[in-house]
Amino acid sequence: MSAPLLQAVDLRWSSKGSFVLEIPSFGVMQGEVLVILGASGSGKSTLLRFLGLLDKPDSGRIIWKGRHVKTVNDCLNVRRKMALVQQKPCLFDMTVDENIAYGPAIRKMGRDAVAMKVREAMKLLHIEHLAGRGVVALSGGEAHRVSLARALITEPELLLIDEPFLSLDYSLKVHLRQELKRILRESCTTALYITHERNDALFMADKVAVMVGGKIVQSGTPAEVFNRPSSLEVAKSVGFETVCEGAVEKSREGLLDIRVGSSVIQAVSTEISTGDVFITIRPEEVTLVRGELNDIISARNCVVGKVTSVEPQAAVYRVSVDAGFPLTAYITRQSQAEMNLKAGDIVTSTFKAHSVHVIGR
Amino acid sequence: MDILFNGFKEALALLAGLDPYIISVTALSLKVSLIAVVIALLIGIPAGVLLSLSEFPGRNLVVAVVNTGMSLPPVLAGLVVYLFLCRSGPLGSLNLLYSPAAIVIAQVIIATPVVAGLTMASLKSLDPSLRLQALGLGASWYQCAMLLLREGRFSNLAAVMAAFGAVISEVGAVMIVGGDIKGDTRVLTTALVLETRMGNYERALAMGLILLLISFAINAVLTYLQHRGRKI
Repeated sequence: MSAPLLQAVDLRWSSKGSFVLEIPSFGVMQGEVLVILGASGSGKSTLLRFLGLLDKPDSGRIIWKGRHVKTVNDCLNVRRKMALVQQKPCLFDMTVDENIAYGPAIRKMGRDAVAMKVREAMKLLHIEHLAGRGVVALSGGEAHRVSLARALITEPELLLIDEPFLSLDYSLKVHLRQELKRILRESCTTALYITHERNDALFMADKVAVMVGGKIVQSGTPAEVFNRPSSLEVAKSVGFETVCEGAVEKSREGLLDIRVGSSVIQAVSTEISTGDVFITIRPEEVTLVRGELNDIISARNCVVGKVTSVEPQAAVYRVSVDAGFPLTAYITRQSQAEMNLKAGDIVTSTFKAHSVHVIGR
Repeated sequence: MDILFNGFKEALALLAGLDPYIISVTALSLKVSLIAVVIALLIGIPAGVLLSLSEFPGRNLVVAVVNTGMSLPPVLAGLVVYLFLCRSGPLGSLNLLYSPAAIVIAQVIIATPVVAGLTMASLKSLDPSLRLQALGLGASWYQCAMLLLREGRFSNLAAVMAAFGAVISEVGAVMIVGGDIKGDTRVLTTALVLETRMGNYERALAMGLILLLISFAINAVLTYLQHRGRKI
């Protein structure tokens, strides 16, 4: 296995408050898009600053292509092999062309070569029409395209992207995300992408690292991390909204009976067969039926409860149910139109044993 | 009221007639002030950049010194320079006292903290992500500093205006270290004081008008530069 392109070893940093960043080992492999997923305040952007050699941690080493980055000159040389795209486009008070030309210009590239590269970068991001314009009156989408062009023009070996489209409206964000993915694929650019949004991670990532409280708590392929979270924090980060304490009562051939409150939930696990556990369930895995369900169904779990709240979201309704334990389900707008659920209604929640993820306590 | 009106009338006549005495005093005022401002910019801007972008032991102390320097009583600066340059002082052998050079030194001491402090404040008021962005695109520390100075250029011009205003209007320090010697170290402010004391209000007013015109002209140029060139 080849060495990582960029590696952090024993990185440690503490702020004046209580926050501590501790990264024993973390690496980005050549050619991959590695997404760091974590809630606000988990330390993602701080880690990015250290990995990008933009700030110094209290201790630890940054290794670039197997070589420890030590001196100021090393730092500058390695920084010039990376490029940063921030949450805000952070454009300089110059024309669009001058902004895009900044990277090549500070690398002392010839004027004609810079002009040619600027044209290419503008074409890549479809912003040729912005040539010669100032940055003050650019729209949010245009500003982000300029910011991306400014980073990509340097042909970075590693692109550092920090929640780039956070402030944009949903459709524009989806569009730019698709373009970014296309560009990264076509140019085979290695990227480190910071986000708190699961959809970003699922869409962009070759590999996901989940960060909680200043630590990387799990990393792996999106399927590994999203389907088999190793801890409660990761489960919450990757969208398991129902999280409850329980105790395994019975285990047979990987099928567990778990006591959760007054209910017994069946779950599948090859790793756990006894003891106290957490059960976690994704809201999209839960199906709701109005009233008490008497028919036999294929799902192993069928619990009756009372609706405590119904919240409209972008594409679905989020329904909270008290089923002897707090349970969350998503239903489509069409389902809500037909069921007309409201707080106090009795519903039956069904979900498969495979939908229940069990984590040891 | 008559004194004021007649004074203005005669002052304008003196100016229109290009009175050689007034011209020579004005020329010296401009010369020493411009030299002092240039030197203050050469020292103050890098100092302001260093204080706003770097962390080093004792930085807070230096910042406190600069901030104190911004409100330093000019007459005290004059006294200190005098004590250094007088015959028994540590730099007495240089024979600079009562020379334009001594005036420049005192003015530099007055203007440098103003430039350093305002540059520091200007860079500190910029969005911190600009610095990260420049570094994140591969800028060296120096290139990053130059970019931030450019980004804060409108505020930085205010530092130039403030520094020039402080030195061109200075009288106490200039009087102490320059001695107000006619034809040698007499500048507009010291001449204005002298003419007032002698009851030559027309000449005093003429000099006041010139001071006002110089300040206005310099500020007009800098304000024009501030508002020029921003593309939309």
